[in-house]
Amino acid sequence: MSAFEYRAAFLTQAIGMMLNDICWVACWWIYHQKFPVVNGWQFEDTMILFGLNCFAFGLFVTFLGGSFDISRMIYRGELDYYLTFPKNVLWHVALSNVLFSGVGDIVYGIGAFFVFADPSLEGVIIFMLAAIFAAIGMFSFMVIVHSISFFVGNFQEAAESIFWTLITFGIYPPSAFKGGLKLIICTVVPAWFVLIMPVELVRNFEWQNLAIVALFNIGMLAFAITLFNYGLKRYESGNLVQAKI
Amino acid sequence: MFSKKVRKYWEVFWINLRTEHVYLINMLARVTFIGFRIWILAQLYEASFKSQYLSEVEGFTVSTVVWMVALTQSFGILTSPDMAKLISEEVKRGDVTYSLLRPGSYILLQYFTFWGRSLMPLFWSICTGALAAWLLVGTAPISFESFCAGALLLFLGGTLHAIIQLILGLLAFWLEEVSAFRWIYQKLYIALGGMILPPAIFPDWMRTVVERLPFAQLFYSASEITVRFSSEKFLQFISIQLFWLCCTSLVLVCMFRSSVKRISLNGG
Repeated sequence: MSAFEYRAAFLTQAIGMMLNDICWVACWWIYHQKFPVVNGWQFEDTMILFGLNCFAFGLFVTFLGGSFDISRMIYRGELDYYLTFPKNVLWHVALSNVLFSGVGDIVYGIGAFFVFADPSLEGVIIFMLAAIFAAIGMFSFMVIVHSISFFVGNFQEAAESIFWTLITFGIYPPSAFKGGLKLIICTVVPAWFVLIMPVELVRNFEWQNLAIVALFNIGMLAFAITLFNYGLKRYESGNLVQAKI
Repeated sequence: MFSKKVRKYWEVFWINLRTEHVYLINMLARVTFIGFRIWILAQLYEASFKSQYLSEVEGFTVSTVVWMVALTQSFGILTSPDMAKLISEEVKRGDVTYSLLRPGSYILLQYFTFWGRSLMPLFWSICTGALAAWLLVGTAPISFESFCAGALLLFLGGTLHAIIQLILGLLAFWLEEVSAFRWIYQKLYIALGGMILPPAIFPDWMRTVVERLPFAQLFYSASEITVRFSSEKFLQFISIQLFWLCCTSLVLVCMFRSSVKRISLNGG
C-alpha cells in the first residue's frame, strides 16, 4: 500500500529497473554483433534466458524483498523486533520489504517472453512454472548465504557478492561453460538448477526436466529454512533500540 | 594548521581501513567470488573466439581480453558497498545531520571513508583477479611502466566513481527514492565500462564515443593501460578523466551547498 502512497518513488523504481534491463539488452546486442553464435547460442536465446531470469527475479524481490537484509539484521541485532511476534521469523523478515523495482523486472520479463519465446497458452504456462521455481531457488539461495551471518558475524557484503554470482551465471550463454565451472554451477553455486534448467524448459520442454527443477528448488527451500532456524538458535541480541512505525 | 586539517581525514581513512580487517571472512569471500566471475568470463570469451574461428578481435587476443576484463572486475570491487545507497539512506533517516555536525567537510569525510573501506578489498581483489587470469590464460605483458600508469588511472577512476556516488546519494535531498538512478548508473558502468565486454572490441564508432564517457574511465581505462600500455592512449585517458573529474566535482559542490539548505529537522 505504501507503494501507491509514494507513487513517484514507485514509478521511478519500476521504470528505472526497466531501463536497467534495457541496458543489459544493449550490452548483449553489442556482444552478439561480434559473436553471432556461441556454441549454438544466439541473441534470441540470450534474450529468453535474460527475460525469464528477470521475471523470476522480479517475482522474488517484489514479494520477498526483505530477504536482502537478513545478514544486516543478524549482525546488528535487528531480528529482536521479529522475534517478539508469534509469526515465523523468516517469512516475516522476507515479507517485511517490497522492492518496487521488481515490477520493472516483471514487465520486462513478460515483454521479452512475448517477443522472443513461444507466446501460446502452453508456452505461457511453462514460462510461469519455470519462473516460479527459479524465484523459489533464488530466495532459498539468498537465505542460505545470508544465514552464514549467524555463524561468522558480519557477512553482508560477501553474501551479496555470492548471491550476485549466482545471478551472474544466469545472464551469460550457458553453452560456454565447461569443466570445473560446470561442476560448480551444479553444486556450490547451483545456477544450473535455479536459472539455466528453467530456461531449457521454456526452449525445449520435457517433463523429466520439470521434475528435476521442481524437486531441486523445493529441496533447497527446505534446506534454507532448516539452516535459518538452526542459525536462529545461535542468534544473540544486541543493545540496538529500534522503532518500527 | 593545515596538517591538523589533513590529519582528521587521515584518521577517518585509517579507522575505516582497520574496520575492514575485523570482518576478514566477509572481505575474503567477496574477493573469492570475483575469481568465479572471471572464470565465467574467460570461458565465455574462449568459446566466443573459438565459435567464430578468430584468434584476434580488433587486435586483441583472448588472453588480452580476459586479462582486461579480469582487472576491470577486480577494480570493480570499489563499487561495493554502494556509497550512494548508504548516503541516501542516511539522508532519508536524518542521520546525515550527525555527519554534517562533524568538524570537517562532509564530502571529504565521505571520500576518505570510501578509500579507507575500499583499499584492502581492492588489494586482495587485484591479487585474486590477477591469479585467476594467470591460471586461466597465462601471463600478460604488464611492465613496471604500465603498472604505474594503470595505478594512477585507477586512483583517478576511483575518485570519479566516489564523486558520482556522492552526487547520486545527495539526490535523496530532492527525490524520495534514488534507487532507479543508482541502478541505471550501475548498468551503464557494467555495459559501457568494460566489466563484461571491453570497449576495445566495440565497433570503431561506438568505441570512440564510449571511451569519452565517464563510465569507461572508472575502471576500464586502468585495466587497458595496465595490460596494453601506450603513452598516447594513457594521455588520452588521463585527459578524459581530468575533464570528467572537473565537471562532476563542480556539480557535487553546487549540489551539496544546495542540499544543506533543504535539511529540515523533525522532533522526536
